Amino acid sequence: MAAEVSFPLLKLPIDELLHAMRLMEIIDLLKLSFLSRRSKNHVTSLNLKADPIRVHLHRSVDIRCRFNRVSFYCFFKMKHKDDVPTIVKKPGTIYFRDPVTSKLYSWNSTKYSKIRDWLDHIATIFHEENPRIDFDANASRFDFNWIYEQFKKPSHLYVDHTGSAEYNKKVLKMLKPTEKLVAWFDCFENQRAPQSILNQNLDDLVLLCEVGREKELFLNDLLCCTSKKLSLRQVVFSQKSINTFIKLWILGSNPRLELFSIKFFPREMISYETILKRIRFEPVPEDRLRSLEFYSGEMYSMRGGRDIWRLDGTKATVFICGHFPRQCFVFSVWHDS
Amino acid sequence: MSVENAPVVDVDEAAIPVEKKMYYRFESNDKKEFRVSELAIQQSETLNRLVEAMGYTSEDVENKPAIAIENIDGKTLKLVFQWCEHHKGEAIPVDDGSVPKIVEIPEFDAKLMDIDNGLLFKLIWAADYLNIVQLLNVSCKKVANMAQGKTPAQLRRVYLLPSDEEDEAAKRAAQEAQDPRAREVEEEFEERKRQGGNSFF
Repeated sequence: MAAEVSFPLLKLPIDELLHAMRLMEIIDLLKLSFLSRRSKNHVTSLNLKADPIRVHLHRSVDIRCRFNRVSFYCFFKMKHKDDVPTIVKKPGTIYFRDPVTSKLYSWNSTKYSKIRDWLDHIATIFHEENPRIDFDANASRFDFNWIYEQFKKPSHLYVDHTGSAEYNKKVLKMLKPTEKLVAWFDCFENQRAPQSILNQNLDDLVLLCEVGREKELFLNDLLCCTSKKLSLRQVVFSQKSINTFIKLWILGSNPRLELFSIKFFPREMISYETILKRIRFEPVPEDRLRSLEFYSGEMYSMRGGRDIWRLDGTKATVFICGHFPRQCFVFSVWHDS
Repeated sequence: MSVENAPVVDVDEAAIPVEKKMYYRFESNDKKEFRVSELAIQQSETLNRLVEAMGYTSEDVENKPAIAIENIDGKTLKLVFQWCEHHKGEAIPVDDGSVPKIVEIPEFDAKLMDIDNGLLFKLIWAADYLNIVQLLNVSCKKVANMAQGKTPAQLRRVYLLPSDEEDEAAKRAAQEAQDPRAREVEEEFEERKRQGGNSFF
């Protein structure tokens, strides 16, 4: 067996050390960060930014990280017992897989006794201040009190049907996110978005339905919404309701709203004539491009549209994009104009 | 091209091309002299600026002493100048800030860097000191590649990474070496703590 070659990495002057570390794969930097406080500090000083880091609760608990070129996830081993809520008692060992070679690695630490400790380590080295907590199918197997203790007050929360209506309710009630909520209609009681969710003063609210299982968002519910951004996917919201909503917005409803979008498969083609019926508007030239940031964080360039004005002078633009039956309604408010 | 056939270094007059090109003479800290072409020197921002500032003519190069590079030894400088001659005229890469930075190690460079890690360490240091961007990239890439496929425990051995406890012990030892009284004070403090005293003073 060939002798292992060694190189005194930390003896390199700091600039050369950081230069060499910038050439390492992300997964190798993660390994390096576990080895000592000093090596963790060096990895942290590279200012790598993951986008995003997510704690994913499903059959197990994963911490998922994504970078431009690679994604990887770390997980913890646990034993499930039927009918007994699961907790990961002492997650002293973390497992992670090389995204390129699929090789499995593990690291054991006596310093970390909670999943939150591991999450904080990863969030620190990859500079993600707001790791997202995802409740996916089967997440209800986890003891809620244990989850709450570790992840209370998340900034970003994603909730799918966890396998138990009661559990969904508890998650939405207790783990109120401070910034962003992405929720499937299936996880709401009676499959209707509750007002307690709509009026949480969130920065971003995304409500989703499965294709073929569309649910309706009522106009009154929308008027209660206090989020800055609201995105509806596969949610039924009629053209008539859009028209009424715009009229009420002109009169002063939804004052915090900055961006409202609906992506859906309407039963009829949506048109500016219908949604702006009896509303004064000004067409925007088709060659005029404006950038909007959508719920995914991605920027889109929108062409043309129709400008409208609220009674207080605030301007908004209504866009209809895509072609029937894949149309999208976008309502963007220009608070700073 | 193999390392043996690479142009440059420990120059032998016969090896100098016939056409009239400007060459400079450099001397390592162990008094080894090298003759390097003007084009090759352009790979090093530090040396390029130095020779520009000196404004040497061909006669000056011959008549004046070789330019001393006082903190790099001959063995390392030989590798540096072999690399510069091989890559002369190539564009100098610009750092786009991406991580991991994509760097391929060409065959010539891989052979050139088939050296022990002590010399590799000096080569990295020299590449940074002389500001030879691509040589720094490939030499650091060789170090970065040592991590690939290793478990964290193997990585600790490969990079000789001390644990927190070892770091703390080394820090304490360094402090004690600086102040011989420190150990006595610490021992006295520990003794008083054992005796249940609340205050040291």
